[in-house]
Amino acid sequence: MTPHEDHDDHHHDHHGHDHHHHDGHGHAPHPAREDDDVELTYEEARFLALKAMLVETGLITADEVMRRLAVNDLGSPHQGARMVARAWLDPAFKERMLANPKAAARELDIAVTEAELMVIENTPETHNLVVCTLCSCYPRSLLGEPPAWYVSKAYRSRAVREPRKVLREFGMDVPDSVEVRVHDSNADLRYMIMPLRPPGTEGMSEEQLVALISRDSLVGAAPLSAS
Amino acid sequence: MSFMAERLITDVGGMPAGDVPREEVPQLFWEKMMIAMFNVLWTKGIFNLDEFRRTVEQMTPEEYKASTFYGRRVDGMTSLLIEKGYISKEELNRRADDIFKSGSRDHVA
Repeated sequence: MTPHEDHDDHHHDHHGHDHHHHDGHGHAPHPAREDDDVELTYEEARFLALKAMLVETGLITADEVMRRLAVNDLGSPHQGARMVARAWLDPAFKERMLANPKAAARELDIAVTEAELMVIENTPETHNLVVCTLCSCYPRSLLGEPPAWYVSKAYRSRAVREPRKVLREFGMDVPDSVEVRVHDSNADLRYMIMPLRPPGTEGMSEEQLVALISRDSLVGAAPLSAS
Repeated sequence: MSFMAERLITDVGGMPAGDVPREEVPQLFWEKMMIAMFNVLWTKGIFNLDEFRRTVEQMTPEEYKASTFYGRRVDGMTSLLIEKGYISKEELNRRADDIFKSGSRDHVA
């Protein structure tokens, strides 16, 4: 769970509200509005009604929600990649990041809103994988919204029992000589993985390294290569 | 105490399951806004994460199975706000119905 905690699974299987079937709905007159090409579901209508009521009662303002949305939008895998690239290049930063990731993030002007954060370093002997078996706890400040696979029940179920098989399905064959450790996140402690720096990247700039680092590699679910 | 008894519906770790879906699913604008509102309410102390978690854990296995990621968030937040007396369930249902029937996001705060 997160401050953004989360419970759950499939992002968009919008079933289960068939009691409110509705045809022939007209589109709003302003097609430029975000998501106007997406049909209004009952779930969204319920949220819009809830928000309007909370604003009317004065519990929150629409502006507060938009400001928080802007803060949440700063979270993206790009932030996690910046941390890792810097750590590859600067051993002292790496030590600080492993000891206190939130303080290290602040050095790069990244504000971490989650309770506790831990960065775990992959080594030639050990590969690390992150899951949240109970819901979808994820370091959103560093990685953004969790991908659909991360919140799927299938991943939550299988990652702890057969991680090597799951990794193989993700295109990552971990040799038997390498130990696989799975870390189960919760609301109070979330993880990011520091992947191994790929061979062939020796002369690369920090910017070039950032561009190599994928979202999934920061969860331990994808290998990295120099190209 | 029996082995594997009292397992929470959310506690799926180690259970058998099929393929992990790999499709990338973009977040919709209302979902982003909903998460942001959830964060604002949580930050103001209107409810805490454990209370929210409780609303999910109270679901029946059937409800949990049929629910969606963002749907659970809306439902959990809503039931806490009703429980704490901030809003009335009847008014919420009526207004949600009206918005849904209009099919329009216009004129909504």
